[in-house]
Amino acid sequence: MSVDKKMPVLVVDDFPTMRKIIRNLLDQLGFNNISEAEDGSDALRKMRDMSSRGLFGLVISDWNMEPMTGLQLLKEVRADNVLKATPFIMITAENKTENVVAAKQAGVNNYIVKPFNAATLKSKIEAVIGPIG
Amino acid sequence: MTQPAPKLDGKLLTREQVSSAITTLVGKVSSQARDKVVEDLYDLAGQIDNLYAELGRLQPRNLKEGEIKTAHDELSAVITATSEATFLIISEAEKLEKIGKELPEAQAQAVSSSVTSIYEACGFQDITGQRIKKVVTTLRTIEEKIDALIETLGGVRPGSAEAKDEDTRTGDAALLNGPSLDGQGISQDEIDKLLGF
Repeated sequence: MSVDKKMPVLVVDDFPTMRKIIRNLLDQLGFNNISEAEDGSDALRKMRDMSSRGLFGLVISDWNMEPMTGLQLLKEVRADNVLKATPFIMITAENKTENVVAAKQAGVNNYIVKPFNAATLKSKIEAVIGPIG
Repeated sequence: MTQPAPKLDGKLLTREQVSSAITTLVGKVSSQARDKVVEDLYDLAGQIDNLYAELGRLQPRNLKEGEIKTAHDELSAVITATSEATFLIISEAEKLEKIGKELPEAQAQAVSSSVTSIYEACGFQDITGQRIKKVVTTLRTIEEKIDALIETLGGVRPGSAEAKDEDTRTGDAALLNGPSLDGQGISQDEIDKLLGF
């Protein structure tokens, strides 16, 4: 069974260009309920605002952002009783082993290293939330 | 490696105090050893003179106000210009994508595939932006070093410039290093193996 492409997806990146790229690639995959956030704190605020109506079905977040990084966001999400089950993919240029280990320990569902391609994005999303179809 | 300036009770010593201390020290050593110490001190004095001459040629104040500031501004401008250009490329690709959807299926698929490649390629701006930011950060560090150098040459306490060489970040902050150069970091395949995905 394919995932519901109307599920709300949150794209978090401080580079507007990268948000637009990910949004467009998600759009090509059929997702049509996409929100954007400029950093971890903006994302957390949007996730909490959203929580009264439901949860984001997927968060795709950059790591290196200010004031709140993607890793901090992930930790906040996993520590939040309401948000903690949110599927979370880190998409970042940080590709040192210690980064991946830290993200894994914090509870990341998958990890994409930049630069990435559409096929990688699709396969990692599918690995987290199921076949897109 | 730079040696810290001589201090007594936490205060920088004057040239006269250092000279006096050396004279006292030389007076306490044997004649043979004294000749060796004097020879070494002449060498040292020569090296210090050379250093001052080099620093004088550097004209650090001009370097800071001119070249480094210009390089900093130029790199910031590169980030802005590439960002604007990339945004425009993506916007135009979006238009092509919409047009493509009105074409017969085979052609629409070809256009969609090309547009996807454009989106992927536009990811360069994020990577180059982060690399340039790292260079800008390095330039800021150089500016701070030059500030310290200017203060030193002006007889003002130089501060802890040496300590700034070390990465003192800890915890999560120490993990923020931006894109790795070729041969550094790990690949997507290695990440997948590491995570067991």
